[in-house]
Amino acid sequence: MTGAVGNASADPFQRDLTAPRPSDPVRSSWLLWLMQPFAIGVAVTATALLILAALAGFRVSSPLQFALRNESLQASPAVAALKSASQVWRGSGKAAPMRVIRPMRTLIQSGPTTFQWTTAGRTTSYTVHVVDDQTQEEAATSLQISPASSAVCAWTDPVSLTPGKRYRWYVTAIINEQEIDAPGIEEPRAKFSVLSESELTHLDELKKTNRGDHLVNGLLNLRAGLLDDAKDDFQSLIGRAEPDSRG
Amino acid sequence: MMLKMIFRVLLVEPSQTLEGKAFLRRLIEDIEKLRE
Repeated sequence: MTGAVGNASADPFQRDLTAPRPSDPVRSSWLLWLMQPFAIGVAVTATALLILAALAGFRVSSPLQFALRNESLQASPAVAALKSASQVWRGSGKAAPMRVIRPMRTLIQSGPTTFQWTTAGRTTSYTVHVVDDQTQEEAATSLQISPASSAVCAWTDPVSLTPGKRYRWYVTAIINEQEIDAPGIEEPRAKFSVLSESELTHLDELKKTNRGDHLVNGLLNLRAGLLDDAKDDFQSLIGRAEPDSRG
Repeated sequence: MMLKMIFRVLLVEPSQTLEGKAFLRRLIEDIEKLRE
């Protein structure tokens, strides 16, 4: 029996289980690498930098870079077109006792639109008129609105206006049995445009990557010409609701 | 300076710093200038 074992160990094709195993060269090199504190430090730093770069790439979009680099705003050229189209018709005279607030020289998104204006004393009722700026046809008219107790009155048009079209609006107040329009013919007209469907789709795609970020959304709205939406975004960041008193 | 501001905007909520609030107020003022 002993001789048989001796013969087996002498066999060149039989593995000697009693001999010490050679260490795995690959496994030992990884262990050595992991043991090096310097290597661990490099790995942690690289991971942190990658996460930071990913966050930066996610949050910094081109409008934010533009605002930070140039310290100025980048708004749609359509806003400038609205401004030049809203000039006074003739001369200067007595302004209406109430003022339109919004929308005013801005683009808006399609959907129900809210019109806001300041109230005037001794008013019986208000009526809002929305007019197509090209055809001069009335696009929407409100029912008679009772005066609000607050300083600002509002009416929401439930019907969507046509995307891509330009409109103007005015409010008629009955004061002492007389009809008074605001803005009057002596004041700049309150014009606005509805964002086209293609522009709205593009804007929504950009916002998808920044869902819930008011800063980037505000800058994207601003670039699209949605001035009121951009202002709302920035005001919500500041955390205080400033009453909009400008026309 | 720009790098500092980017990191402030990225890592800190803008409304929680004086610089951030001033930045946002300036943006709102500039919006009104665009209408005038």
